[in-house]
Amino acid sequence: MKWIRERLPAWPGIFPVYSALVFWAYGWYMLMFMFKLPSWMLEVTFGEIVAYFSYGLILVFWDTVQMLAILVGLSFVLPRSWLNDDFSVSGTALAGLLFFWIMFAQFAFVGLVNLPPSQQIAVLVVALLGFILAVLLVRRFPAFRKLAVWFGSSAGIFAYLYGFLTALGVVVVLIRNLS
Amino acid sequence: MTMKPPISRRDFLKLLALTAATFLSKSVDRLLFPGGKSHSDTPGVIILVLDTLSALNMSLHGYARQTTPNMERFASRSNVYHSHYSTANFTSPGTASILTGTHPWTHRAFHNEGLVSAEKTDSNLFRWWGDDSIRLGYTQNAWVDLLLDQFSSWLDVHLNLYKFNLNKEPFYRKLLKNDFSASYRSLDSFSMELDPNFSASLMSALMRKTSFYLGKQAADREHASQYPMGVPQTVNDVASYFLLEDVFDGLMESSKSLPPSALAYFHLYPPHFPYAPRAKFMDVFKDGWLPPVKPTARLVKAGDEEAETRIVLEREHYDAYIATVDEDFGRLFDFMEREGVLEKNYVVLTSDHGDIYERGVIGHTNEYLYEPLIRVPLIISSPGQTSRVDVRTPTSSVDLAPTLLALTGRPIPIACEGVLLPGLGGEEDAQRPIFSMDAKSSHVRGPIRTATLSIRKGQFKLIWYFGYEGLEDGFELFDLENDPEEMSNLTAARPALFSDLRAELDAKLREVNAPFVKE
Ligand SMILES: [Zn+2]
Repeated sequence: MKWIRERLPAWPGIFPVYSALVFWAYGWYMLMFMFKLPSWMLEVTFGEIVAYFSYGLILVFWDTVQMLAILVGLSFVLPRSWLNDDFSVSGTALAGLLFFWIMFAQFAFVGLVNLPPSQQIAVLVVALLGFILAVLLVRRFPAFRKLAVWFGSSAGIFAYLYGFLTALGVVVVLIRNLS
Repeated sequence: MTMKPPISRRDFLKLLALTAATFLSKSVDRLLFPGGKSHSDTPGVIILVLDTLSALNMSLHGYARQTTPNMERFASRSNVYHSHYSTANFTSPGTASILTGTHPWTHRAFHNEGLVSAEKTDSNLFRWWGDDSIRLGYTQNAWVDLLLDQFSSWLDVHLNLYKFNLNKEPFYRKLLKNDFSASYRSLDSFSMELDPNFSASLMSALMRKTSFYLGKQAADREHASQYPMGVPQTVNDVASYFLLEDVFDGLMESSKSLPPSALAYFHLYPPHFPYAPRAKFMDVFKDGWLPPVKPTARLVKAGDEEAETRIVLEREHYDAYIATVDEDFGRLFDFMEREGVLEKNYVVLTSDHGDIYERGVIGHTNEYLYEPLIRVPLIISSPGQTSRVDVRTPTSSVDLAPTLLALTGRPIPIACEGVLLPGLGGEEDAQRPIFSMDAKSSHVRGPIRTATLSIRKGQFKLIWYFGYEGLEDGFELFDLENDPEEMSNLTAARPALFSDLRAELDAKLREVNAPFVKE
């Protein structure tokens, strides 16, 4: 238990990281939603589109929780001084990299699932090396560090904004399913 | 305020049957409807829709390959409609027409994942059937399930889409079934869509992809000797895979345990792409046979044609998959004959649309209304029928609902746009116009401005393409009696005929657009 408590990043460190994840995950969702919107507008009412949007918001919230869990999990794996003690900064950099890896995994999905297991493990190792490299960059180069700090704090506004929207989405979904 | 009437004996029996059905429906080897129902003096109706079954690829309708020997056995004691048209070239509008007896411009479910317009949902076969006998709906196709969900107030039993699948229904589907349509469209078919390279959701889509592919791969390996191209599956949206024999076993049990006078609608996914023929049919159609070479389809841009080698191969797989489905249909037919199901019910075999493998085009996600896309089988076996009746007059999928209602002694609703099928209460009328439409790019709540429309009248068929961006409007006129392959466009050679049919099509379009055009 003590080990877990020591390893678990503190909340003030987690918030900028979560904000960065929100920026990427919700930002991507908004972009995709905008692409889809015209075809829905040809067909369903505004109210229905609000409902579709709401389901997506809740799903993306769940996505951000899962992504945060991955980064927190990494802080248990990587040396403590690398990520754990510097979670707000290194974690913010890793949030961007995680977004990139997930996009890559989606894009190359069919190829990846059909690789032999040894090569799949190699891909995972490369992904992990990428995370390590990102942490090193942030630790070694002040410019990267500054960028990560700025990004983490600026993204805070998105956490509040999308948090509020998601809460509204929950209300919409509850009304539609319980009424 | 009005008092609710006390529950009648009939309602009570129905409730009993339903409660039992709900509890027992998990297990297909038990009766679905113990308890039975009243109204036992009129026959029931079982409709089996095999998705994407083109009449032109069935040996029953003269196709060069022996794809449907078992359906031919069924046909030998049925009415066979040789010029039967779907109102559309894909699932949503084609199915909605079967279930509502109306054309796509009326029911408005003419987009992908289309829904019947809100003010029309109470015009459907299940409601018209009445609530004095069981009405059951089952489909493997999510787009059809959207429609069944719209009609769920008039369905006594709506079997779960995953019921006969190898994979289980995801937990969120169970949670959100009160809002099936919106949650399906938002989550299953958009945010977590399996097909595209990038889904709107990052993690959940990736998890869903992973679990689907790993599960499917394991099933493919396990059943590789039987299904060398992989086990049957639906395309991306509901991510389900299944064994055809399980699904047909389920149908057998369900049809056997139907109470008298029931209405059952079964809509299976096969032989829809992706094709999963059984091993025994894999090489049967590697016969070198080729259909006549046809002109490239009108809307295909130069250079965008599908490669001929791919067209030939896909057609071969499609035919092999049809033969696979036919084999299982043969088992179902034997079962129904043996168990007396055919004696107690009108049994209907049809499809919602076809598929095309020619003119540089593959499949049915396109704007065409050539014969392979809209001509579908319609075979109806009546209780006590022992011989085959062939009907060659053109008929439409909107005719099915009114015919089945009339056959079982029910009134034909005014909303129905079809007529009684010849040989089942109706007369042959060669001059009756039969319409089909594809209008995916038009507004559902506005006038139809971009579409392909067709009219079949007598031996002729006129196709009209209009409103497509960057393409001139155009027409194709075919003489289907002398040119069944639709090879030569007669618009120039038969100006008077062309002008008449064009005027009729134009008048129809004006008529159906009228409610949406502001003065
Ligand atoms: Zn279909």
